[in-house]
Amino acid sequence: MDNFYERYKSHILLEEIGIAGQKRIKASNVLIVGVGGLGSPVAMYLAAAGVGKIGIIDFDTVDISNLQRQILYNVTDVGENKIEIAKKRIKELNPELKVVAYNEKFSQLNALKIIKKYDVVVDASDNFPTRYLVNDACAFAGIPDIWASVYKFEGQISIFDAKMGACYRCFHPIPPKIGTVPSCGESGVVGALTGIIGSMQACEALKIITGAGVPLIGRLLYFDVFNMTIKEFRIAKNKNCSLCGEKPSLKQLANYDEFCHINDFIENEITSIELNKKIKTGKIQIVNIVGKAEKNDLIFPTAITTSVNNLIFLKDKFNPNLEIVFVCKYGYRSIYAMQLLKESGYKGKMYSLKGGTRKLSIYSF
Amino acid sequence: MVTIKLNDKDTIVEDNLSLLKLLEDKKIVPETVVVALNLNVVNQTDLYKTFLANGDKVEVLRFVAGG
Repeated sequence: MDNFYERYKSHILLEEIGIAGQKRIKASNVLIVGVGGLGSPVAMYLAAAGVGKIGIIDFDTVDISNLQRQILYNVTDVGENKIEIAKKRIKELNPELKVVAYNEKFSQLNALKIIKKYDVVVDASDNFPTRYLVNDACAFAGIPDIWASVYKFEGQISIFDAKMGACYRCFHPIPPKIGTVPSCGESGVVGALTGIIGSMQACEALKIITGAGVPLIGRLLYFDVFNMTIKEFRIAKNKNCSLCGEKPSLKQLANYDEFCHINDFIENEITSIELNKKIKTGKIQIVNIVGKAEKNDLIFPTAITTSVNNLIFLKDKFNPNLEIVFVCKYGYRSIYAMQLLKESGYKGKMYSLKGGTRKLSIYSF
Repeated sequence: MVTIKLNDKDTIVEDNLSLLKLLEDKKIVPETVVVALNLNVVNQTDLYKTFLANGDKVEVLRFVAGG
């Protein structure tokens, strides 16, 4: 408390925040789901702003390719648990804060228990099951979900607060099938864009905590940094929403992996060890499923290589007597590839490399 | 035929075209996008019954989860 006035002078000077607002920030509890590209600036700015308790949840480790945008981490952190490093950085920046680090997957089993300890949740995750889960848990707990996501040169941000306006399900109740929408690691993203959008999430969190300004509830901001344009859309609350509508059918958290069809092909997923065994039998054909940007770093450079969109045109090239193993960077689009080929009537056996090739190298095989 | 703005580009479409049909014509999977009509986000389940009129502004944004 000694240097409270000095440290937060620039907030206190703001009429709309002042001493009372800064004390509210100090008394607040914010949960950040995911400490990656978006979560990094969110954590840094909320720590700098003096948020009293910051919860962070993630179960990933630092990869060298994260450093292009995930500004919480340094070269020396590669291979370490993100959550431990993030906690250390936040404490270095602001030792007075309480940091609660959850080194686990945010799931329907722990979500409500964790979320209830916080006033605001910032969704900085990177996949659809988690995003639906954060939305639903926030609606059940009655707290706002400060949501944002990024893709290539585009960023989107909104606040889903079922008490005050629309939730995520109000406008998008049906999730996309797994693999149909690529992640940042697959499609690429401008690092600085995650900084812009994450900083906006931090800003919205501080506004909600202090009551200053007009929050982004019921509005979706769309950023295109390629052309540097911003668009704003309205999202109306849906009275038929299954979660926050007049007659909600959802009364408790669901299984979000199932909801997003992640389990549909679970039996067809194989590990790298199983793939190694299959390679030795010589009775498989490996198919790389790639995006535009990743053709140069394939683990199986001599295998058939295609995008999911062109897969169907290769259907007749596959030998149905050999098993197909689809591999991609994260193990999502390879599942989608199985789904597409199956729907096209292909009868051969198919597998997908679980978790993708991201953490493997050519020496793994 | 009616003229709409689709992602800021003048586009001519047939009369009484629904947003869902517009997506189908453009080979866009509806679950993978967010559609806004005249700056209002259209509920995914209303796309089939939302019809385009002359001068409408349609934005099709990718529905993304990256972070």
